Amino acid sequence: MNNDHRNENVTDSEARTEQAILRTKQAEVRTEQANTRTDEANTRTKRAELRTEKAETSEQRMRASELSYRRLFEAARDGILLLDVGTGRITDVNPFLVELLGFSHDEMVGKTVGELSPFKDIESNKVMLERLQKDGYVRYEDLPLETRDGRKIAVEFVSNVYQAGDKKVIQCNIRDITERKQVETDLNRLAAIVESSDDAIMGKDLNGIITNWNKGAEKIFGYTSVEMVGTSILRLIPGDRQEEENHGMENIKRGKSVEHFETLRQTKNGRLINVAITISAIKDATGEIIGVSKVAHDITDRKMAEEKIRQLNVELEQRVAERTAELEVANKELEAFSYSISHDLRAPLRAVNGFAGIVLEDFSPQLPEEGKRYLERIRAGALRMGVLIDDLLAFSRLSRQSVNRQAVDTNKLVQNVLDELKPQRDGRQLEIKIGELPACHGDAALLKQIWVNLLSNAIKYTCGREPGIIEIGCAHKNGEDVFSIRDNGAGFDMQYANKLFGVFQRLHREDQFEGTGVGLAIVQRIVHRHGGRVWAKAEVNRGATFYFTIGEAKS
Amino acid sequence: MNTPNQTEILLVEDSQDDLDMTLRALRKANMANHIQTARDGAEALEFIFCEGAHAGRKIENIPKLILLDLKLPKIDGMEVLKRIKGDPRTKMIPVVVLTSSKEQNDVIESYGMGVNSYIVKPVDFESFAAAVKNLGMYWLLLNQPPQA
Repeated sequence: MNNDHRNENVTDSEARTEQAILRTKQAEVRTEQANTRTDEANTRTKRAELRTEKAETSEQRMRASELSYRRLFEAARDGILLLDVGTGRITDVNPFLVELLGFSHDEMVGKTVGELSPFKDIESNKVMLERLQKDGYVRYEDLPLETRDGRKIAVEFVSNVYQAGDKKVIQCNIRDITERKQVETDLNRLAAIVESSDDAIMGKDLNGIITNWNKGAEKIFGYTSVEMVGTSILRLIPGDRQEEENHGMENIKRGKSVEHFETLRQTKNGRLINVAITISAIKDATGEIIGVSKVAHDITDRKMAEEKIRQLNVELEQRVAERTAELEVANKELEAFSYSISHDLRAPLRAVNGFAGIVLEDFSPQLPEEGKRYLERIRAGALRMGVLIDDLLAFSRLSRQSVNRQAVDTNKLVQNVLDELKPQRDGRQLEIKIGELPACHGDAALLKQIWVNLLSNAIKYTCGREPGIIEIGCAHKNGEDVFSIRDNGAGFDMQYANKLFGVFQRLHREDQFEGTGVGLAIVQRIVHRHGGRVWAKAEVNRGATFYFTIGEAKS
Repeated sequence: MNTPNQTEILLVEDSQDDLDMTLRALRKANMANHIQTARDGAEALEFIFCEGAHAGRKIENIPKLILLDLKLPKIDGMEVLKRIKGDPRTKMIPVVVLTSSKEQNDVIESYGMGVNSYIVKPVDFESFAAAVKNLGMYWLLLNQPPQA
């Protein structure tokens, strides 16, 4: 600290000779070892007493040693209190303690230690004095204090009784151990963290000799720290991977601060485990690498999970591939089947129709009227079968056909369909009302098929109504567009509504309304392929309304 | 059925029923002269390329029209079409596919190979007869082939 200031005090203090003498005796003790460990203090006291007797014999020596003690007192990096052995009252305080506690010299002198607020927790003056009398010293290893400005510190507090000439005096040495304690706490905490870690944390020197081995390492590798410290890290490394160790060390020596890798290690019982390893350099104060710290994390479970996922993926891909192949085969078969129907089923029908026609044409004069009518029915039956086959093929083709969504102008589409159905409308008294129809996103050709089938049904089933009324509209409900086609035609009984969309299912006789029963099945399939819904409401003789949505385009 | 003079129509058809109805329709339309029939693809190719039973025929005497079914025994109609249209000596012969198949793939493939017409045989006898008559009229009477 500032020694000039202290020197002034030295001259002042010369007057206080009595105290000075006492201090001189003690100073000799302290001279030997200014920052002495307090455990040794007792023995030193004894020695000091011996020397004290000698010192009294020489005034000159006494003065010199007094001065040197005074300097030590002033300059000491420990706090020093001098107490009157009879009263326990403070007779002197060194500058370091003034600084440390924040109380002035005058504030402290004359009081007992317990009267000073920082020492309020210390045992009573009386008890301390008694102990000092009895043992010659009192020691508090770790005494919490609060300085004047409220700072909490910890001190080591040692009191000794000295014989100074004919008088006894008490010297209290107060050492601030706050920082040391903090360092210890930090170190302990770090040590606890390392020790309690589930990861293996190891230290090794540059030759790969293990210097540290935590509990985690014991748990993962099975070796205790006694077994491992002092031996080579290579014990953990499988034979075919020993090169890894050199490689990692080379990188660290070359200045790479951290190395990460995943590898295999061998435990004490010979089992191989997957570990993720982090290596980092340990440097001394000068920055030189003196060793390596190694953290190993057991990733066996993770690796097993990864492997399992990988296997599942492989299996899944395989299954998808198999299923796809099966589907392709099934699709091919279906195509071949349809092709065959398309060719082979139609040929005999042509023969049935054709030869019945030829008989009618070539042998008409020989045939009775009834015979001719039957032949006509044979021809009609064959024709109808032809239509059924065509419809069925169209229906089956829908499952194989891909759905190519695009923006479709519904108004335009409906108008086109109505134009195309003109031959069917001709000669009929029809009122067709078209509401606002929003555009939609679907396969244009398939959507057209929906409208063709539903509108031609509406036209067909309003036959006989004067006028037939068909209303085409759309309502936006629950976030989707619901298209509707309402007619005032024959309608149907709702109890058969479940049959409406089945293939070849019909709710009317052929001689009432002709048809194959495929049209609505086709509508439903198209709607479903778009992810939409189709349903109907009707009443016998009061008309029917068909509703459909076409779903949202999947992104 | 073999004709001493030049063959006008080669009718390739495996079904006896279709064959009889086609021939009858052609006869009714007065186009039944000089018709050669083949009952499978191999026979058709032998005739066209003057091989086997037809080795003595001259390839230059090309028919004016080939009516070709697609689904045929041995060699199918598509292959026959491919061979006809792939050979410079025969590629000018008009070929009309006359088949039961409405499959779009067949239609597209046939046109891709240079077929001149693709007609689906109607089930209805009268429509069938009319179709045969019309195509005979068109290709034999109206159409103007390039000079040989």
